[in-house]
Amino acid sequence: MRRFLCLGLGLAALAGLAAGVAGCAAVRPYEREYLSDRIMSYEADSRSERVEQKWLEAREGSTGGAAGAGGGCACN
Amino acid sequence: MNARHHRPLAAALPAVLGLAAVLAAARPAAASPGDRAALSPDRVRTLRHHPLTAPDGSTLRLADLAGEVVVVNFWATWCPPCRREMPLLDAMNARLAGDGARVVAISVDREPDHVRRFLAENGIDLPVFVDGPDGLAKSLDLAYLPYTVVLDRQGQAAFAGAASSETAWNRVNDLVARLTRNRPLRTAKEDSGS
Amino acid sequence: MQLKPRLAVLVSLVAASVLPVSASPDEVDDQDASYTFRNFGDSDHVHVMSHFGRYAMDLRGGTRFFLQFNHETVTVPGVEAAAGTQEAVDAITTASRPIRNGSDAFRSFSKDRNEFQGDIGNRRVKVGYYVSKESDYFAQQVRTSLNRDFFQENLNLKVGSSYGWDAIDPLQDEDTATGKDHRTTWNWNAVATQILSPTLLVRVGADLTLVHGLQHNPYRNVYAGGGPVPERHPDARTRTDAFIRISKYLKNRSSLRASYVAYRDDWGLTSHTLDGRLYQYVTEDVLVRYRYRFYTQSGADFYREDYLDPTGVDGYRTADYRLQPFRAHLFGAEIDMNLGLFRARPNVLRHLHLTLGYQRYFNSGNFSANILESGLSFTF
Repeated sequence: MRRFLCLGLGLAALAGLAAGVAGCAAVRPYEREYLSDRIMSYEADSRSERVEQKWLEAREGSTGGAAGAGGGCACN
Repeated sequence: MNARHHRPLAAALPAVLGLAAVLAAARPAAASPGDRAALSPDRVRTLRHHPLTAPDGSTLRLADLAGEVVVVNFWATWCPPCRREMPLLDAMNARLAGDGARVVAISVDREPDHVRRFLAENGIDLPVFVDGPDGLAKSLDLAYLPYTVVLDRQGQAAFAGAASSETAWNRVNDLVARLTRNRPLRTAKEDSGS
Repeated sequence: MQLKPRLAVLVSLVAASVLPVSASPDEVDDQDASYTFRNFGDSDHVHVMSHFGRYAMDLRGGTRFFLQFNHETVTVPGVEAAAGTQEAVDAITTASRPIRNGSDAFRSFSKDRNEFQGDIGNRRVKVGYYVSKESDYFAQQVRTSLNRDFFQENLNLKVGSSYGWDAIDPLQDEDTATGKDHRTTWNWNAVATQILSPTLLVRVGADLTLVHGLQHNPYRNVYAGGGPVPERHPDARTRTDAFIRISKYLKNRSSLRASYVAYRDDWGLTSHTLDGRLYQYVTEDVLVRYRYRFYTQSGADFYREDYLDPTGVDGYRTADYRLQPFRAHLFGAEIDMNLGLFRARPNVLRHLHLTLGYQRYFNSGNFSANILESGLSFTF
C-alpha cells in the first residue's frame, strides 16, 4: 500500500515538476531546428525501439522505459 | 515474502486520472487565424528594411518592392507543414507574375546548403532568402512556423499569421486577389465573417 | 482481479471521444512504407527470423494512421547430448519447447508467430489495437493515450493505458501439468517531455503494470527436492518502473542520448538500466548510430539455484534464467543511408532509406546473442 502511495505521489509530482521547469525561457518555433532533427527525435526511433524493447523483455526480467511524446518541430 | 495478489490502486489511479483530467481540460495553443494587428507598425518597418540574402548571394529589402503586393512566408526545410506549403507558394508566385505582386520566402534554416538542396529536389523557382533563426524571425519573435505576412501596395500588413490551414490559405488567396486588383481593403470584421 | 475485455474497449472509446480532432487540416497526405528483416541468434542456438512490414499515412485533420505486420519464425534446436545422460536430462528439464516423447527433444522445434498492430490518432489522442497468434498463444491488446502541449509546446504531458488479454493453450508435452489458461495485463504510464534549450530535451516517466494469470513456462521442469517438477510462478505480478531520458544536440551534427530506467516488482526483482547512444551524420545522407547498454537485476525472491523442497519456495519454483540475478551488456552499431546519395536521374532513390545494424548482447549467465538487422523504407 505504501509502495502505491509513493507511486501515486510520484506521478502527481511528475507533472508539477515538469510544469515548474517549464517556467524557464521557452524555446521559440524558429529556434527548433536541432530539436526537429531525427537524431533528436525519440519518435523517429520509436518503431525499432518497440521491437527492441520486446526482444529485451523476452531475455530479461524487467519491462518499461519506452513511452512518451513531445519535442520536435512545434510547426502548425 | 510479498503477498501474491494485486494491491489496491487507491493511490496510483487518482493521480493518473487527475493528470488525464488536466490534459483533457487544458486549452491547447490555437494557431492565429491571421490578424494584421498581430504585426505592429514597428515590426512591419523592421520586416521591410531588413536586408535579405539569397543562397546565390544576391540581396533584397522588401522596402524596395514598394508598390507591389508581397506575400512573405517564413519557413524552414526542417518544418513538414512548411515543406508542404512551398509548392503552393511557388504556384502562387507564378500566377502573380505580371500582376505587380510576388511571393518572397524567407528560410530560418542555419545552412543555406539545406535550402539549396530542397529547392533543387522539389523544383521550386520562387525567390527564397536564408535568414537563419537569429535574424528577422527573432526580431519579429514569430509565434508560429510557417508564418505568412501579406504586404499591400502601400507596404502595410494586410495579413499576418499562420496560413497552413485550408481556411486561412483560402483567405490569403482571396486577400491577394483583391489587393492585386486594387480593390479597397475590407474591415477586419468583414474578413472574419467571410 | 480479472477485468473484462469489453471494459478495455469502452475505456478506449471514451478516451477517443474526449477531445475533438485538431482543427488544422493539411491538404497533402504523407505516406511511408518500410520493410525490416531481423535475424537473431543466441548462445543456446535459438534462432529467430523476423520480417516487419510497416505503413503510415497522414490523414486530414492532423490524424496519423499506422499499421505494422510481423511474421516471425523461432527455431529451438534439439538437445545435443547423448540420450539418457545427465546433460541431456538437464537440457530437457529446462526446455522452453514442448516434448511429446523422448526423441522429440533431439529434433529442432520450430514455431511461427504472426503479429499485427494498428494505431490511429492525432496530436492529442491515439488509440491502437494489437494481436499476436502462434500455435500455443493468442494475445490481444487495446491501448490509448492522451497528449497535450503546454508553454508554447515546450512541455508535453502524456498519459497512456493499455489492456491485454492472452489465451494460452499449451501444445502436447509429456511433462506439462498446465492445461488451457489465460493472462491479462493492465498498464498505465505517464510521461513528461520538456525542452530545456534549443539543443537539450529531457523526458521523465513512470509505468505501472498489473499482470494476472499464467506466467510460467508450461514446458519447463525444475529440479527440486531431487527430481524434476513442473515450473510454477505466482499468478499475479505488479511491475513498476520510472525512467529519465536526455537528448543533447552536439555541435558537429551529432547527438548524444542517455537514459536510466529503475524497475521493481512484487516478486522481489529489481533492475537498473543505463543506455547511451551516439548519433552522427557522416554526410547529409549517411547517419551512424553507436549504442551501449548496461543492465543489472536482482533475482526473484523465490529463485534458488537448488531447491531442496520439491514444492519450492512458498509453493513457487523456477528454472527461468530471467528471474535470477545477472548483469548484461549490449553493444551495437547501425548505419542509415538515404539512397538519394547516388544522385540517380530522376532521383527517386532519395525517397529510399537503407538501414543495416548489428548488436552484440551478453550477460553474466553465459548467455549471449547476435542480432543482425537490415531494413528498407520508402517515403511517398
